[in-house]
Amino acid sequence: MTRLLLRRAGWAVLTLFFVLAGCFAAVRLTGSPVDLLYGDGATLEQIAELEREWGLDRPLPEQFFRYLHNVMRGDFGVSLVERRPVVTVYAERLAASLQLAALAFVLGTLVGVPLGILSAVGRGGLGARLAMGLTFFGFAVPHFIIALALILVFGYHLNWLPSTGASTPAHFVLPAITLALPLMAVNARYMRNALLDVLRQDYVRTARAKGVHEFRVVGMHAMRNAVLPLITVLGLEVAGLLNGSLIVETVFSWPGVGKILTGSVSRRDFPVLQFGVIVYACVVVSVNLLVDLLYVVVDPRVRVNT
Amino acid sequence: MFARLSLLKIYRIVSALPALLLATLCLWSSASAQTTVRELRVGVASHVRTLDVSEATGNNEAQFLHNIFDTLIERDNEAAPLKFRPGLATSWKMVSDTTLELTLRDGVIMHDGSLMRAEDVQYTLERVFQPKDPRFRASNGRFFYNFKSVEIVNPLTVRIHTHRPDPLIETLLSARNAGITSKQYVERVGLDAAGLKPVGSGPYKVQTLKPDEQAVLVKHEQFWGEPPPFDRITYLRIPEVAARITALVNKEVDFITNVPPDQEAAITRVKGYKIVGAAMPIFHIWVINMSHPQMANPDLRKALNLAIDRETLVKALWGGRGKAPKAHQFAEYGEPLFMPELNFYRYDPEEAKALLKKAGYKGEPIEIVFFPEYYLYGDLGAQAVADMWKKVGINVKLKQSEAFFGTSDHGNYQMRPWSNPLYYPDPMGVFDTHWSANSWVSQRGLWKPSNPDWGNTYTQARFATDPAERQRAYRKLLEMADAESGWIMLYQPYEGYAMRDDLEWRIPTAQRPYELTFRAGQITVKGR
Repeated sequence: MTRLLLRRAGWAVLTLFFVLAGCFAAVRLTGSPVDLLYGDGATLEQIAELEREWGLDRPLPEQFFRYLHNVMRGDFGVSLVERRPVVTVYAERLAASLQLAALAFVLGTLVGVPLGILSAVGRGGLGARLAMGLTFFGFAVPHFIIALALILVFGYHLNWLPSTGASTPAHFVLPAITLALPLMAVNARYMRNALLDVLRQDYVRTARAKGVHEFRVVGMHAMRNAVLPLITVLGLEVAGLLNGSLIVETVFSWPGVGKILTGSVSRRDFPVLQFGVIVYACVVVSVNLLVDLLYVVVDPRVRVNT
Repeated sequence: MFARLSLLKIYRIVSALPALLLATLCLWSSASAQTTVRELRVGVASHVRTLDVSEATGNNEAQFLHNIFDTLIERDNEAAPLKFRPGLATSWKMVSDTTLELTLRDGVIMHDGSLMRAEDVQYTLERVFQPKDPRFRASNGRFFYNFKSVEIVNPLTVRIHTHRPDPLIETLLSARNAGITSKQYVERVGLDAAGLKPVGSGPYKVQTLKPDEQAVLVKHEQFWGEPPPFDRITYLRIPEVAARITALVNKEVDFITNVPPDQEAAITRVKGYKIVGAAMPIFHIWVINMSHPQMANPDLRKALNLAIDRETLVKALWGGRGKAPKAHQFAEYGEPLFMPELNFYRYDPEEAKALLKKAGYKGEPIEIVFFPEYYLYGDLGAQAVADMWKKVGINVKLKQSEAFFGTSDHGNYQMRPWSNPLYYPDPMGVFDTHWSANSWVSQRGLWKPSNPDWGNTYTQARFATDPAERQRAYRKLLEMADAESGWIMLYQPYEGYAMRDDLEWRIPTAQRPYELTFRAGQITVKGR
């Protein structure tokens, strides 16, 4: 187990390094941030001077290793646009993003998984078909279309729910549903397919033949095996949530980190972008590490092999 | 069967819970949507990263500054021609050709509680008159390059010195970027922090600014002038137009900006809301990189302008409510500087073809760079113009760009979008602010007028004190600019604002475009 943990942690660190290096180089290919900030006013000499002051005229490897050195000391730099520490810029907004993502994740799981179970158990029935049809809709339609549709129906026409900001619990509803719908779809389909596979197994037939209550057959016996692929999917969905939140936060004017991250790309706010990439990569890598560990807990066979 | 029903039953009970929760939240939401009468919530399409009055020269910042900062000399919001009235200065007089002496208003309490004094005026204005920090260069280049220094005569008297006599001295000192901040405050907190929570003397002060997201202004209780109509103004960034319109009709905000003409029906069909709109004094143009080898020929550039049917563009994009300019000038100048008889931007595809032939154009691709969001309908305009150019034989490529260009990109493109807002109602309010030798287009080599008379004519148009002489020089300047054809003129766009119909607000004609003016007398609430 310790070996597994160390091995996974090692790969995680390596992944983070390459992600950061790739991001660091890629953004600098887009041009100078100084030029974008002061292009309309500063002279060419002033722009060059600022670039020297900010170390942007140094060779790329030197800039990168200086940045890494600072990161090791906990210094993630200052936002070139807001002129405040990057950590402060994110700290103010992180809670809002995490709350929304967590709610969407819970919703996507609590609705999607039972929907998948229902669809597998009630296969062929109208309810099951309807459920899968809806999940397909959630899967096929892009986030921003879902968002706009919800805004128009529940905000514009019905005036039931707010469409902008995050000041009350009601504000969470539409953005959370927007983010959760694709997750529900994916979870439902995976759950359904996995459960259908498992329900065809001999031991399930045996359990039914022994007169075990269907609730126990599905809930206790089948689910333990069916849930394994779902755990992997749930881990991948975290990355999907982070991606989706960039669009959702913009459409709903949600005060989260997604907006500043997308803004940092167009504004060439390198420190903000780099920090965002580090955070996102850490989250994805950590969640996938957790998924691997959960696998070990849930499936004794993996424990034995490890 | 029984087992299935059990599962289904369980699921039905569980699935009813979200619906119950949703209903509760809807009720909570409708209760929360009520606003206090003296609060104004504004949904804006774009927001700001700083509210430093000397730095923030963009269209985004214009939405805020008027309500936070005062200038020494104020303008009457809607007078044409421009009328001035006392602001932070109660009186002023020219004591020489290049020196304006102003008597400051006593008892002006700034947002940090300090009393405004001459040193605040000197500190604020000299950082743009003599910009050492690059953040103030844009202001200097646009407005203040002729201003030299501020001399303190006594705590309530200053003298402003210019390099040469300036017929626009009052106009420029009434521009919002000449607003005054507190020297002691900025020196204490630093420029960066002061930009996030600035101190002015206006009727509203900044309570919080979350860059690019939300700003909250609250009433300045010790404002020297008439108390403002609101206790609190919240500016919320809502970039998506559907969300912005929904926020208005859903009572989440009271006032929104940037309503495209094709979306107005979504507001007017709902009772209780109205649209206030006008063709703004701003040109949407494409600035041509005259240093690009392919764009060096003036006949080619002229042909590009002649091949555009602006009337059709205005009808199609703006529902006829924008304007197709005939020359680079605005009616807001008034007589004699506005010359309605000028007609440079004709649509003449035959002449365009002839000029293309004269220029030796052989079908090399001409690339139109456009920003899909920053300028409304920028993408549609680009596509329409590309079609018009193709009809006269121009090989057009369209290139969408998401971000503003910087210096490193200037050498590579042939033309890029830009706007020329009228910063003040005078020809130089659009010309000097965009096409002077100090402007970035000149500094970067994009705008390179070749006529040897250009410099002298420009100086006369800018600095002549005799109005007739200015008018002659300005006319000649426009004629020379037309011969150069250094930009592609598109149109004057229509801008719509939507609001609760109990709000009485008009687009100010004496201020620069996009200023949102929420002082006493500039916005009222019916029934109050």
